[in-house]
Amino acid sequence: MALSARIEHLKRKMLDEPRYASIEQARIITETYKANEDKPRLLQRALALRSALEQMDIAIDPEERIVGNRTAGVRAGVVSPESGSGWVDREFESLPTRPQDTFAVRAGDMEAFRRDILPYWSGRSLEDVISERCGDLIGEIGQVVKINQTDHSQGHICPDCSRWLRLGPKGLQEEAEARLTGSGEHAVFYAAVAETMRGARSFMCRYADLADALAAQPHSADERSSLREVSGICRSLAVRPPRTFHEAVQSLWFLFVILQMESNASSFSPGRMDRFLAPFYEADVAAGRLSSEEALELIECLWLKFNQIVYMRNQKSAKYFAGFPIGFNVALGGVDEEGRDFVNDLSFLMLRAQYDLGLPQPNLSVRLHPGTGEALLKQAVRVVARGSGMPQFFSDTAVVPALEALGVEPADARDYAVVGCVELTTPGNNLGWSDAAMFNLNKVLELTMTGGRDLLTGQQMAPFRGDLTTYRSFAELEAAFAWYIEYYIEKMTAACAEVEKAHQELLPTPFLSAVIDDCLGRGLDVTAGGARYNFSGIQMIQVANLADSMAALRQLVYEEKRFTGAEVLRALEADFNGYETMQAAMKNRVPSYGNDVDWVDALGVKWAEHFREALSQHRNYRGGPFHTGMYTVSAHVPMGENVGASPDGRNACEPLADGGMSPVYGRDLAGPTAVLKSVSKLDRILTSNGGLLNMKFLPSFFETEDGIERFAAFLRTFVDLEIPHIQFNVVRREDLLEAKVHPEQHRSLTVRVAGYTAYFVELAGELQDEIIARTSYAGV
Amino acid sequence: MPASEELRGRIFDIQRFSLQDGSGIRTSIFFKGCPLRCCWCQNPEGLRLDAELIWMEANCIRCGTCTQIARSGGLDWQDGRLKICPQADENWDHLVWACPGGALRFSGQDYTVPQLMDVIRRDIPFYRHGTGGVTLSGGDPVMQADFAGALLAACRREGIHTALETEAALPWERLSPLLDNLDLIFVDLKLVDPVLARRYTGVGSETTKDNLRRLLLGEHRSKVTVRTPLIPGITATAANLQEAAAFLSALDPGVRWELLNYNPLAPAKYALLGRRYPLRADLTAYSREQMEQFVLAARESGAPGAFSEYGGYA
Repeated sequence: MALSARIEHLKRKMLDEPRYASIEQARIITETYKANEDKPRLLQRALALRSALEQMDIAIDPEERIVGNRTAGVRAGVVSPESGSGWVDREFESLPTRPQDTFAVRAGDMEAFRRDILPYWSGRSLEDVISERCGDLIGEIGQVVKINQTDHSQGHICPDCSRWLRLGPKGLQEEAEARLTGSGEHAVFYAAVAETMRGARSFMCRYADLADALAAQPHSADERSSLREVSGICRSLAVRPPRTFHEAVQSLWFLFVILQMESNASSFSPGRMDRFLAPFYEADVAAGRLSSEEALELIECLWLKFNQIVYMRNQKSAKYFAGFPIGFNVALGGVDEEGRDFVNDLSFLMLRAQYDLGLPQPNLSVRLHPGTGEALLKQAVRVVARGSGMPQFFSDTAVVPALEALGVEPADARDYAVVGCVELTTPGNNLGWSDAAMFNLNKVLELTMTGGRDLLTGQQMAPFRGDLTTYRSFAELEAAFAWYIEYYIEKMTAACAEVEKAHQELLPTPFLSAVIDDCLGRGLDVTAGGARYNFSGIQMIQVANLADSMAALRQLVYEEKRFTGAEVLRALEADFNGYETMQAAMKNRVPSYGNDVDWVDALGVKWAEHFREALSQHRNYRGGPFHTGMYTVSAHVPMGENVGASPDGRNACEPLADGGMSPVYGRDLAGPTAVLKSVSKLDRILTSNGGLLNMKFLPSFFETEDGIERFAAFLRTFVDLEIPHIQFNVVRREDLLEAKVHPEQHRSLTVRVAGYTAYFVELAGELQDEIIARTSYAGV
Repeated sequence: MPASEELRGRIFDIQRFSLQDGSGIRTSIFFKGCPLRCCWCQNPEGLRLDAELIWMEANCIRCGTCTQIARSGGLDWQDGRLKICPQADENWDHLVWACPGGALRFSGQDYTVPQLMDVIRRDIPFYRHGTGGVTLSGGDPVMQADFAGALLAACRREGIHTALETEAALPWERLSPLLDNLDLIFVDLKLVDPVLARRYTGVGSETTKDNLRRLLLGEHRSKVTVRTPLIPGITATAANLQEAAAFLSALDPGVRWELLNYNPLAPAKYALLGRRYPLRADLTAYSREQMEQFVLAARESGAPGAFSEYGGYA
């Protein structure tokens, strides 16, 4: 099935439109705050959102069947002064030319921003407040721990879409108003929720009005009738819940646009769309109102919409999260609350939409379990073979028990969804704060070897607890390593608490809270701990390099005694200059993680478990548990830049392993089954916040039905081995080289960066080179 | 016959996630030693039965560690290449251990059956879905028939699916004891004409043909796939393919006969070993259309079971 002409046109128009930085919402918000300085922050936030919903310029393309965006243009980089305006000020000039994720800037915007917006927020934005309160601490530990969410709103949350579809903004407004009594903290919260819902209803009516106005202009008869349909739907949704599939899809998109307007954050994820849209689809089909072709077109309209909102990050953050992933994660299939296989027509239609469009969003995920049907599995593999890097796969055998171990109710755990890239959540009731921080275990190993001294700068970063010249055994080295890990965990959790506290004070989110259980019931904003589950996720960076380095130290220094500890320390200080022989031995004479070599893999497992155990002694600011994940997005590059030469033979500042659970590039010499076996030794509880395993296959692997069957067998084993996640790049090397030379001809070529898909031609040159160099498996 | 724990087999490679040689996801065990000396051989390190010392040029960082340790003239640099004198009285095990790049290595390693089973069992979870298992390859595993037999019996005891790739160029008495414990048997038939076979593979084709006759007329014939690698100008000639078709169809008209595309990656392996590739290095694989023509011609010559899988290199 080819794309319909409508979808083809809409896709082309979207890709052709330049991306701009936009200060429109920033200006509206700033004016609202200035006019309401006496009000509590919750109400200020609600009023600011309502102003934006009522005043932002909006647009409709006459061909659109699903409408709405947070700016009139598509893919705008929205400036968000409440969360962080300092970086915009510092980097505004370089936005059009920076190495990663560029945005054009309209004439006059920079001046207007600096004149009308920046001064008001200086010292008041989230970024400034956090910097004032704990900037020193964050800076002190910065080489080891990257604290996130310091200059933007917290996203990474899966709203209760079913509730939104059942009640709509009017129903939610009424619920908030019904609970509004007295004048306390809860009353302010309910008043704020009601205010945002009024704004949401106005927003929908404005689209209805605009569609009517366009329908009165000279368009084709088809377009006029489509616009009238759009108008009718938008007007209805302002006053009642959706009744048809088309209405439900439109309603859902409004939800996500408004969430993005309230919080300019990444990763508000719809979750299990094939589940909560099913009642609408099935009723329409039963009534003869909807064919599967029409349903597919509506899904593809929504898929295009998911690509129209991007997230503008600062230059450093863009390096960690390249390709402005926005993280509209959709999870298909899996088990239902009772553990039975769940699949329906929509699961297949949504895979089909990805097959047809091949765009980076939504971030499409397929949940697998031992009872997954062959049809869904093979259909998913065929979509993978198309080469957009999607869908990615999650295994219920790993994820469900991992969430249960964290205290999640079994029914909620079975209903899990994915937010952003690979972060795990229960839908509609969980502020998982899944990207609280990244903890660089390899930097900690470096400090263990040097006695707290930074190999790159020579500075003393942490107390001396011994170094490679003093440890008499591997056990002594390990004891010191454990001490340094705990030293940094203490500091990290203190910084995380400050960040959460600042969000609670400055960036409450009443609109979001209306669609997260049990915020309305408890009268508490989600940032104040209103959600049923309140987690904080810390990423362990990178266990693969750590295992390899530990293995090299143990074997070469303490067992074989090829080198002394002092020699190794000198070699690392020299970045292996003059020690090339030692570096070669480290690379070639010690087995690496990813080859199913038990003693090496066990070193990675041991330290990941140690870290998780030490972390679990702490609670987050909302009273919930900390837990661990193993994914880096693209942070393995900048995280590697922080680490000096390491005993795995890696030179100073080189990237760490990509992915999170993946082996170091080029070291997985025993093939993909050995990789899966190594990864499977990491207990699933270590990745309750999400794990990421990246593999690259050449397309020849999928050329025959026989190849697809073997691939399906590979994935069935992945499920049996209880590995949380796997994703595949299916791209030819020549394609990538060609795209690098002629980017203009390959604008829609997408690759898996690490947990999300980006346009290859929009990635920085180094990252392109690295993707080209990644291990590839051909069936040869 | 010694107990299987004491038997040792000499293996030059173990490839997990092997997809070419049989069904499902497999582990291929490459046995040292081959009765043939095909001039296009892609596994030159598998030819000899003994584990000779080899120098992998690509892995060598030219640090000189080995030549410093070698005191009895066993190693020497000549024109930028490492020359090995195996007769010299050196501590070769230590030299191999000391080489930091892993460039100096033995071209084979001895395993007991239990040791190999430890590796094979690692991928049992993968074999389960889609009839995967173990493939004995080489070299030619029949060169170490006792060990191959013991290994196959061990696999059979654990319910692991088994396959064998063989030249069938050794006497029937060595091949036949393996057959009961095999699920799939792949037999290479390269050149039918005995004179050409002797010229290009070092051995005449008489024994292979005799073994094929017994296989295709015997009780194990449903397990057999015959394979012919298409080497440009040598095996991929109209005459050879017609002769093969006539020979095979006379035995079993429905025989599964796979034509394998030429593998242009072979020269790279020679370079890795620092050896010269005996054929022209610029030979390329056949296109999908050319492969289809070969198959069509084979079928028209009376072998309807001929097939190829594009991309399936020899």
